[in-house]
Amino acid sequence: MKSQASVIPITRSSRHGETILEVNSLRKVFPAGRSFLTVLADVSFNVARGEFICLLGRSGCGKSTLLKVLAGFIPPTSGTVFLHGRQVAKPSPDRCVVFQEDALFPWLTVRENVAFGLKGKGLERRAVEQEVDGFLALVGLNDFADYLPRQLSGGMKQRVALARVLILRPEVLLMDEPFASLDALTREEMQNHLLMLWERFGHTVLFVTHDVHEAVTLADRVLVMNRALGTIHEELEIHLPRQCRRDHDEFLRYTRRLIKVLRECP
Amino acid sequence: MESERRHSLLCAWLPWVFPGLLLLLWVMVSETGLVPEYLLPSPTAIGRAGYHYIFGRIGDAPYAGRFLKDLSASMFRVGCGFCCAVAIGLPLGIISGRVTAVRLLMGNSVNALRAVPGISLLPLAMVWFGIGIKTTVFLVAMAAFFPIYLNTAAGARQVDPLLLQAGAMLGVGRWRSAFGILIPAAMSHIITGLRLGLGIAWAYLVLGELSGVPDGLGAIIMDARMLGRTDIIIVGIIIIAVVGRATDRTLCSCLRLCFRSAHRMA
Repeated sequence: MKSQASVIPITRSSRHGETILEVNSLRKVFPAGRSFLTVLADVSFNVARGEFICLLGRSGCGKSTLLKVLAGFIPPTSGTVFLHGRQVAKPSPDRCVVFQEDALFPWLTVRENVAFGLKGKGLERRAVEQEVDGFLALVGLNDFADYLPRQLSGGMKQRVALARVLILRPEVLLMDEPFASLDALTREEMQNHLLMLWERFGHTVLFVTHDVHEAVTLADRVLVMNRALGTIHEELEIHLPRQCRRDHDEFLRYTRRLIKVLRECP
Repeated sequence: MESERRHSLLCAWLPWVFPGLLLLLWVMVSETGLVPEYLLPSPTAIGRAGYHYIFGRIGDAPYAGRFLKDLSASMFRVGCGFCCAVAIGLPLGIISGRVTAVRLLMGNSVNALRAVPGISLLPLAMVWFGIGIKTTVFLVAMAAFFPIYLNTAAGARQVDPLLLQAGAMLGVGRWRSAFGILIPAAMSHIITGLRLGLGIAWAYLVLGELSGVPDGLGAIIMDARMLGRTDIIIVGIIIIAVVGRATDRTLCSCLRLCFRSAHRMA
């Protein structure tokens, strides 16, 4: 176990470092019959390196659309996204996505799924195997390496999906309600697991959710989206210690505040 | 344990129930003399004719010793026609499944041609290619093309866009996306298309060989009809059924051997 884990270099998260992601007056309009549907009207925000951002909003407020634009899956109608000063246009391994459904390749085993992004990069076979084993250990799936995705539970599938992207060491991790379909207990476990990995790797996270408790548990900063206007309605920094956040006295105050904000914005 | 054993026993015997019943019925019909011998010879007569046809030496009896030559000629024609159909139908199907313009372009022509019965193409093929292997291969290829093309197109079209997005985000290029994601994800449809194509290839083989070629399984059936040898007709039919089923099994096994996706998802 130890030798496997030591393969992965530890990058301490230097939170609130320089700005890594710049989103400037993003606008996304979809044609809907004869008229148009404005999903994102004018969205701008910056993200610092290593920051954990939650995008919170009711369903249909455009948070998933925003994530798809950031990932490069769909182009914005206007506006720009810069990562490290380079404009984002296409999907790339520096902005990896964990989808709501697992999106694993059903014909590949857990091990092959995790190794998928490393193939064709001229890496040695042994190096790839070691790397994959290390990441499987990290998400606690060593014993399931040769299983097929359909043989795994929902939580395990999402852990494979996490390992599959973390192995590429993305700058930014985009997560689209990844734990929404899990039961409450598994969801809490996965949240803790995600935080552990985040502390270890120090990547920047944009996490889309409609769950206020999840947002307060995970985020450094919560961006609340307004469905009617297609903008960011409010920004809330969470100043709580990472350890045992859910049990903190202030936790309830933050969640109440966010629920109030969500009620206010239509 | 006991129930598992019973289950596997059932799986082994169930496919033989109908052939067995049919044989029993046939024996009963011919024993009672309900149907005259020249319309439906008894199973023993068929067995004798089949034995002479397959194992006999030339000169022992009419049709004796021709089997290997007929079989290889027919297999070669089916093989050529089927390979042509795969070579054109598979890539075209994948492209038209993914590119809307190509699908619209092909739509009218393919569906109109599909409605033309193969027998009406026979005279035209004979005018174009004369009597011989070219006509048969042309007919077989024409017939096998449609199920292969249509099923592949449907499969390629129904591939979950999430899987392709996941591939793009993992940094996969165009070629690997096609061969590593698109084709495996459409594999079950592709297998269906290939199996249907191969089945119909055997059907059209007989049609192609009716045109008066000297050898082939279809040719002896036609020849036997002219000479009133009902037993040889039935022997030919049974051989085509057996060989057709055997090639179907071989095709499935080959696909399972060559493609992980065929092995793990079917």
